[in-house]
Formats: sequence, structure tokens, C-alpha cells
Amino acid sequence: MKEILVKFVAITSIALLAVALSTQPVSAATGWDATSIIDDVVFTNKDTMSAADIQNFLVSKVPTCDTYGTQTSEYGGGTRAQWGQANYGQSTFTCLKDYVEGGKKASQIIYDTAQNFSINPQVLLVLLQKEQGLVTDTWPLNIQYRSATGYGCPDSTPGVCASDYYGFTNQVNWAARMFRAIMNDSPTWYKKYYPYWVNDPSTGTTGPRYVQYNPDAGCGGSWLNIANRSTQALYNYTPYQPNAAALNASMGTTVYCGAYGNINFYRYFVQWFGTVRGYVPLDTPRWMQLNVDANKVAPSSGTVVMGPIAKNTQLLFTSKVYARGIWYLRSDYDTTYGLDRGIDMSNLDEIPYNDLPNTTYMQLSANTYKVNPRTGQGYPSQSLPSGIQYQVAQSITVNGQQYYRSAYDKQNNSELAIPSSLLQAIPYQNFENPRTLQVKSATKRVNPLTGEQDSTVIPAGTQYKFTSKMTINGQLYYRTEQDTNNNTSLAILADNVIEVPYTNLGENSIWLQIKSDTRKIDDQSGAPVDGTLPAGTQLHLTSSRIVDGATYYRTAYDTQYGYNKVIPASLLEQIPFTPLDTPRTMTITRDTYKVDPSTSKHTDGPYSKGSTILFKTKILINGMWYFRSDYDTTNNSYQAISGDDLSW
Amino acid sequence: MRLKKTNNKSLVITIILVVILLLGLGVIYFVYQQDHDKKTHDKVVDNGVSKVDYSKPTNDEIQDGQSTKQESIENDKQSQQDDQQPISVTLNGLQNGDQVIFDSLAQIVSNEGTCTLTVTSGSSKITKTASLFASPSTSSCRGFSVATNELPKGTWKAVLTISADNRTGSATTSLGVN
Repeated sequence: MKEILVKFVAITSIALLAVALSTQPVSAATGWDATSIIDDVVFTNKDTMSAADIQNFLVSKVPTCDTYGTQTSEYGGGTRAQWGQANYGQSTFTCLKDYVEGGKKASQIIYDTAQNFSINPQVLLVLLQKEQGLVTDTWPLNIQYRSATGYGCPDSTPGVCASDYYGFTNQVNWAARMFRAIMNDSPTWYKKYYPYWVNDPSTGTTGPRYVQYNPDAGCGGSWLNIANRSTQALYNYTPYQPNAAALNASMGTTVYCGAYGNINFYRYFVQWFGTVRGYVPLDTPRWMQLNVDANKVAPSSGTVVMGPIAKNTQLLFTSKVYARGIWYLRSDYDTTYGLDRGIDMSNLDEIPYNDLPNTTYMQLSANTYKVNPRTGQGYPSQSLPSGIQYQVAQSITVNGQQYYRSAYDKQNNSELAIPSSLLQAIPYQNFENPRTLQVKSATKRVNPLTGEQDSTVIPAGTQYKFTSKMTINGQLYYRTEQDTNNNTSLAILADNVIEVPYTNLGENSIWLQIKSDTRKIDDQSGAPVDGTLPAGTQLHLTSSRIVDGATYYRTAYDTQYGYNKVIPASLLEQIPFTPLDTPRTMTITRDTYKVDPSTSKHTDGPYSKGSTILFKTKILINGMWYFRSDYDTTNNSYQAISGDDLSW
Repeated sequence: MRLKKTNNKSLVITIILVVILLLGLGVIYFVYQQDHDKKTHDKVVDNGVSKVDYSKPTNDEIQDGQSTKQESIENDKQSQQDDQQPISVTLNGLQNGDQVIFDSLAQIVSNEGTCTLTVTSGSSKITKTASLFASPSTSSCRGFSVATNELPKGTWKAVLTISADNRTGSATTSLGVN
């Protein structure tokens, strides 16, 4: 038990220490951007809060006002009332929620000023807090109201304020007036810290502007590419950016060379009002096109600032903003330059894919991958090799670049496509063994690339000489010699084309002889095969086929073994009769018939046993002698009587 | 007797370990508190969603508000003491293409003042003047830019003098120009 306790204590201690040592601090101002402290669209959105909203907000930040200073003073000297009386001659305190000047509540003054200058009242609320802490102060002094927004008070000696600017209403008014003048780039309001893309008339330059870290020049600063007008306005108001230490410091703490005006503006704005970003980046920047002639407007007011832009104009959008119940998209250009203008999203459509007249196969001319033309996003990991076939169904043109989308991607509603510049027509290839083939069943010629059919029906058995071919999507097509010569795109599906079949001659098998020395030929390539067959060689031919009107024979041997070796009929002839040395009368030894000696078919008869006939010519076929009568010899009839049936 | 000694030794070890555990817990608590405070500050995260926070102010906000107020009080007490002090001026230069821009900041709020910029490079010198303009809490000269061909290239030394409201101040800077 004791051992268990000891182990438990030891392990727990080590574990807890490990956890403690592993805890790390976190950055203190996530989202801060010194070049874009707040978006113009937020800065100028005057309709974020009504006067009542502002009042409710002020009440929420000071639930209980120490109007009579009964609490102990943070600065010593007894109660707040006593301290106030001793130092500023005031023993009662009016919190901002209760403050009235010129018959107006502070909330109304803030609201009215915001409306007058089209500045977000939230900007003014934050300004009052960062300059004097007025929003959260439960016992504000009169001097805080006197210089409520710090307008006209030097940073090095903020207490020395110009009396022209004294007074709460005056202070709020001057601040908003200045903000508006800078937002409008008013030529009568001298200013600096111009956005980098704007020419500073005093120096004649665009580009970065120097912003210090602190009123103390020794603290340094940096050159910033200021992105928008509202950031320009804030730097003109408080010309310091936080250094790294100030950024990491907690609110209310101070660091060496730190300046907190703008970072606290950011912090308060985000904490109280959520975001300084009216425009948020699109997750995926996108090309879209106008579906009507449309204007670019300032989203917070709806004021037209550019346009109209013609219907069907394509633009790349990279950020968006929701204002006045409408989503606005901001172009890449406007986003880059921080311009507060967007296009009502209802005036925009996706750039459409258009059906091609025919779905067509093409092939890749280089290794590539599919991209989304509307976003430019590609998928390099899914590479497509050069030469691969791609069934093109639709096209889309984005920013002048045409892309083709496949039938597959269309069917699956995928946005991916391939630049048309990387796709090329698929050519016919030469047929290695151009030859005549026969259509198996009635069919039509077809364009393999598109699937389009010719109207003419080709009957079964029709023969064509095919000289080119194409394989599309795994299907082989043959193109006829005529279509090849005419360069038409039509072809016949190879599955429906067969070698011209042999006919088994059966009882019509025939003996013929070679006319002159020759060789058999391969029935597909036409190339000579086997050895030379001398003239006069007798061949027993048992199958034949007719190709392009010419008959080709195959020997009994080749037929039996399925060898595709043939002899054109034009190179064969009947085996000729030869004269008997002496015409001779012979007796028929049994009832018989005259036959065609090349086929053994009966041609005449019967002739009765004992009959005698004068024979003048003879023929030897397959080892058998046949004798031809004087009459048949004279009439050149190719018939004779087998020598087995004759005697002399 | 020996048995008793062994028991005492175990007791001592247990006590030591318990002490270590308590120390560990103390460290954990301290770090947690630090981290908790830190996380309170770290609420400043812009998630892109607008809102209006009607809740009570956080401790940070109250503390920061008090600091701001205290600064105002102290500065108010400082009051007119700086009236006769030299104006604090800063000057920075940056070459931007064929222009050198000089940026200035003066710790005074005045629209009635003059700025004189003298830039030297070797034995060459150029002087420019501009008027002062006021921002809410500072003033600046109405921009100076000097073309790089106005002076020999190399190290430029610049002196800015600002006169306003019977006070003066100056600042210097140098930069390499090519």
C-alpha cells in the first residue's frame, strides 16, 4: 500500500510538472495587420448601430456609474469624490451613458456624427475608449470629455490640447470630419500615410510610407505599404504602429517603445464588434461574369462608384462582404488595392460551360492535370500523361483561355477541365496490313471521335479495302481506302468487320495446276509464303474465297490445317489433256460415266459395260489416268472416263 | 527497533514526496493562472463575424481604460510645462526609385509652421522648404522628395528644422542613395 502511495505521488508530481512546463503563451493580437487595420467598408458603415443601440452598449459597459464618487480613489486621497474635488474641483461624475451636451445624450451625439460623416459609430466608440477610456469609465473626469477623442492633443504632451477642439461634441465631430475627409481624399485636407497605390502629392510618389513605433524617434519604425483609406485615416489620427513587443503585450500593459493607439483600436473593435474585416477573403477566389449591365457600389451605402460594367464581363473575385442584406463580391483588383467597392452577387453568374455541337474525343499533347477554370485551382497530383484520350463535351472560356470539360466531368457535375491548348485532334493511323475485309452485319459508317453515324446502311457481306485505323476509348475502327483518300472522318467499327471468309468447296473441290512458277501468298498481307511452286504443279483445292471479285484458292492441306495461304485463281489453270501416242479404241469394263477429271463429277453417261470408244487424249490427276474420247477431244470437252473402267 | 527505523524512513520519504507534489501543484496553479490571464487577453481574435458585445467590460478593458485615464491625468498635470521645450522631430528617408522621400513627424499640433530640409552629399547641398500641417496629435511637413539626380549618389545626410508656435526642433538622418 505504502509503495503504491509512493509511486502515485511520484508519478503524479512528475506528470503535473511536465504539464506545467509544457504550457506556452499565445500571440496576443491575432489578425492584426499594420497595413490594413480596418476595412473601408466597416470603417464607413454608418448604419451598424442606432442611437438606442449605442445607448444600450454604453449602459452595458458601465452597469453602475459611481456618480457620487463614493468608491475609494485609485489614485489615493480618499474617495473618488474627495480626490476629484482636490484635483479637478469636481466631486460628482457623469458616465458616458448619462452624459448630455447641448441637450443631446452622448449616444445621440455619436449617432448623429456618424450619420453626418458616414463613419461607423463603432469607430467613434472605440476612439473614445482608446483615447480617454470613456466607454468603460465609472467616474470620468471633465477633462476626459474635454479632449474625448484626443483631437488636437500632441502625443508627446497629450495634456496640452488646443482649446479650439475642446468639448465632447466638438471632439467627436472633428474626429469624424477628419476621417471622412481622408476617406474622400479631400484635396483641402492635408494628410499623409497614403495607401501605397495612391500618389502622395507632396512627394509625388507611391509605395511604402514610414510609420514610427513611438513618439520617441529613437524607437524607430518601418515603411508600410498601407492598403486602404481607413488605415490611412487611423495613421493620420495616431501615427504609430505597435512594435513586436506591444503586439505581444496584454491590453493595459506597457512595453518599451510601445504605442497602443492603433493596436488598441483594433483590439477594442474586435472584442466589442467582432471584426474589422467587412470584406473577408473568399475561400476560393473565383472568376464570375455579369448577368446584367451592373455597377460597382460602396456596399455600406449602395452608392455607385463605378460602372456600368457590361453584361458578360468576366472578373476575378477574391473577397466578399455582407452589407444591407446583400452579399457583394469584390474583384481581385479592388481587393489588392483595398478599394471599397463590390458587385451585388445577384448580378453575377458562374461562367457557364457550353455544350459542344458534338461530344468529341481528343488527346493530350503534353503531360498535364485538370484544373478548375473558374478558380484556377489545379490538381497536379492527378497527372494525365501525354497522349491520353479525353472525351470533350463542353467548353468554357475564362479570362480569354479556353478549356474543355470531359463528358465524364460533365455527367458528374465536376468543374474540372483541361486547357484547350493542350488538346489536339486524334489522327487516323496507317493500317499495318491494308486489305479487304468484309462487313459482318448490316451497319453504318461512324465518326469514331463523335459517334456520329452516316445515313447509308452497308449490307452484310460488303467488302472494303481498309487502309487506316483509329482506336477510340478502346474501340478499334477501320477506315476504307476511299475514305482515307478523301480524308473523311468516317470509319467502321472493327468488331463488325471480318476477314473475307473461305468457302469450303466440298464436292466442288477441284484439281488445278500452276500456270507458271509462283508462290503461295499470305491472305492478309499478300506477301509470298513457302517455296516456289513450279508451273504444272497440280493442286487439290478444297476452299476458296472471293476478294474484290477475284477468287483465291486454298489447297486441301492448307484448308485442313487452317493455313491462310492462298493462290489467286488467275495463277491457276485446268490441267490439260495430252494426246495419246496412238489413238486407241478401248472397252468399258463396267457401267460408268464420263467425269470432269478435275472434280470427279459425272458429266455424261451412263455408259454400259462392253461399249467401245475411240480415245485420243489423256490426263493424269492425283495418280489417276483419265481418257478422253475422240469426240470430246475434237469438241474440247473437259470430260473423260477413268482408266480403271477401261481395257484394251 | 530496526523495524521502527524503517517505518520512520518511509514516513520521511512519503513526506518529501508529498511536499514535492504540493510544490508541483503550486507550480501548476501559477502557470495556469498565468496562462488563464494570458488567454483572457487572447480573446482578441478576429473571426470575421460582426457583432455587438453588450456584456460587461472585461478586466482587461477596465484596466486599460484606467491606464488611459491615468495618462490623461498625468499629462494634464504636466500641462503647459513643455511650451518652451524644443519640438521633438523625427526624420526618415527612403529611396523609392529615382526619388528619395523624407518623412517627418513633429510632436506639436500646429498648422502654422515652417519646415526646412537640407540635404548634403559630399560638398553638394540642396535645401527645400515646406509648410507644417496638423494632425489630431502630431504635425508633419508637407512632404519632401528629392530626385536622386539632384545630388551626387552616395551617402546623403539630411537635416530637418521645424519652427512653429515660437518653438523649433530639428532631426537628422542619413541614407545611402544609388
